[in-house]
Amino acid sequence: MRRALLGLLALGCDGDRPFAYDLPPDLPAPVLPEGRTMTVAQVALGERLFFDPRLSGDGTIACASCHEPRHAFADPRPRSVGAHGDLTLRNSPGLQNVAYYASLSWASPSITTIEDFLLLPMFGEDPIEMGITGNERAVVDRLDADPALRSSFRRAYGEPVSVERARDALGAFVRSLVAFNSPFDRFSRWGEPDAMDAAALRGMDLFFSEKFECHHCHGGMQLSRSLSHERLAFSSFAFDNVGLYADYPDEDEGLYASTGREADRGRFRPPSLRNVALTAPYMHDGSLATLDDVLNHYASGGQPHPGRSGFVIGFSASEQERSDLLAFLRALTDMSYVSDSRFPNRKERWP
Amino acid sequence: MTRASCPHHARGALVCALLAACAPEPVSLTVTAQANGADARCGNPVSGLVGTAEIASLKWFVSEPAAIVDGAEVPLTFAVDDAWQTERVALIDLDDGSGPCAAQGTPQTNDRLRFDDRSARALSGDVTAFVFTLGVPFEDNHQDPAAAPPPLNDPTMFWAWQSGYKFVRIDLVAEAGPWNLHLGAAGCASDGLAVAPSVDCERPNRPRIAVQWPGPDSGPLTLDLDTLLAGSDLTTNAPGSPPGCMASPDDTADCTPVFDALGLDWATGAACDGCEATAFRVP
Repeated sequence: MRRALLGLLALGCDGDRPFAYDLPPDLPAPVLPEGRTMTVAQVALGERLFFDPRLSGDGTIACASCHEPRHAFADPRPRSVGAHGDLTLRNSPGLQNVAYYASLSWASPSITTIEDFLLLPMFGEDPIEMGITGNERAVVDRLDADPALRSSFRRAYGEPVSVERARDALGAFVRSLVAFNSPFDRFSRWGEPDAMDAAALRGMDLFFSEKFECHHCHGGMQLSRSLSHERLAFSSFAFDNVGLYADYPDEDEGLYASTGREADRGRFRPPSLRNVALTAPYMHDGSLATLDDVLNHYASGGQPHPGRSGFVIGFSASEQERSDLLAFLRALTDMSYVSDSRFPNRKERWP
Repeated sequence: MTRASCPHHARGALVCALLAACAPEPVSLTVTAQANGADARCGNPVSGLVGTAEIASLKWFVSEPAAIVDGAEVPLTFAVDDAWQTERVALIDLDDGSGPCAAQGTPQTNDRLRFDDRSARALSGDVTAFVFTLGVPFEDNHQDPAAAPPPLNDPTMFWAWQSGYKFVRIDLVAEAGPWNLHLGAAGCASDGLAVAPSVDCERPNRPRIAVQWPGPDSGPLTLDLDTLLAGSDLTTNAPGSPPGCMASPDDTADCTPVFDALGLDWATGAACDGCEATAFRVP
């Protein structure tokens, strides 16, 4: 009895322990939404739920079904398939360092927290992704029937299982996903001069050059201009039209859907290029299959569109330059982030 | 006297008046930009030697401030505010993110340089001129912006460790396409773009500019875009070079006229002999 009591006490302490990031020296941490705290127990619960299909309305898919760890939590399909077979509008991107984005989703300036974003995949009805809406009771009953999960909720929140707490825990887990151990990071931030090979170093120079112009939209610590962190005075929002289409399909005109401004047609948030070699296919709709295709797109200058970014102007690259650029993009891969040992809950539970 | 402000318990008028001398009136300077006879704002037109364009971004760094007081140069320091100013570097941001600025800008703007109390005290004599560096000093120019204090962590104002910050960012949208002035140091040598150089760049491109002391009588510190672009053709871009002037060595045709207006020698990136930064004036 006494031992059990001590165990409970220990769990109680663990439940309150704040989550701490493992960041390179001097790098700022993400901003927490107003009023939010983030504990180790919440992150642990969120991780369990992320890989658990019981969280979906009909118990068939988990978050991880469309955000696969081995693809840096991206979906290798151009568009994802929801619990009821609906196709998502856009490609499901990788999830590393999403806490550092100024805005979440491909083109929603008003969604600025992961917790707000989670309303879409969990409860959205057009398309249905996780399909929880209308099935809240069934989801809670399913999770509550698992004693281990029930006690995880208790540990994290001191409360019984609820869909709202599940969303909160998923927010904590996704915010905890940071990856700063790519060869590029080790070279530029951890002080390891040999971390990148010669081709990647040449590619880095090209990437940051005024000839290729990549860095204007994919610069900074995130390799995306959309940036928010604890030391930034203001979030830096970013949405660009890269001329993927001369006339963007009516069903998805990006930022325009939020603002109604003509100039915002076809503008999407520049994605972080971290782990980009693992997250094919590319672009907001997954329409380009490989990084080679992406290079071809930017080399061509894209389709003519009145809103196209001034930095998408085309370039001619030699074979050597192309392969160097690709070597640099591969040097943005953090293999430790996708290793099996990092996510003990992944197992093979999700379809 | 060492107290910097009037303490709460100082009730007597005389005491307070005496102590008030220790907490000088805050000193700040208003900064503006003009184009085509109007305030330069996002979406407003600018004209070059040839062609017109719309403003799509308008930001620049001011650093190492000083004043000429009683005939001698006195260094000043900015009031650190965790947003726009470190002690020696300030960001002027006239880009409110509206219209064509939406691609780069944020709604927050800054049109003031605010000085600390020590500077305010130093400005007690006959102040005739304001002296500043356009850009970021070498010591601050090649750090990791992710680890830097504001405003040096603004992601739109940085290239890479080797090349450092964009000292000036003026993005224009002309009929023919973009025309951008991105002024920064050039010819920076290090073991790769993600490595900071240990000595300053071959062409610092960091002009030191002196103007009449701005104020209520003389007017604000003004960047005159008409003057800055008076020699520029906004309708064409020199073939094979980045759009507009990005200060890279192959950008001679697009950069030379702009450098002239900033008092810079294009070939060396240093102040040119006997010329002036005519693009900045008061008023």
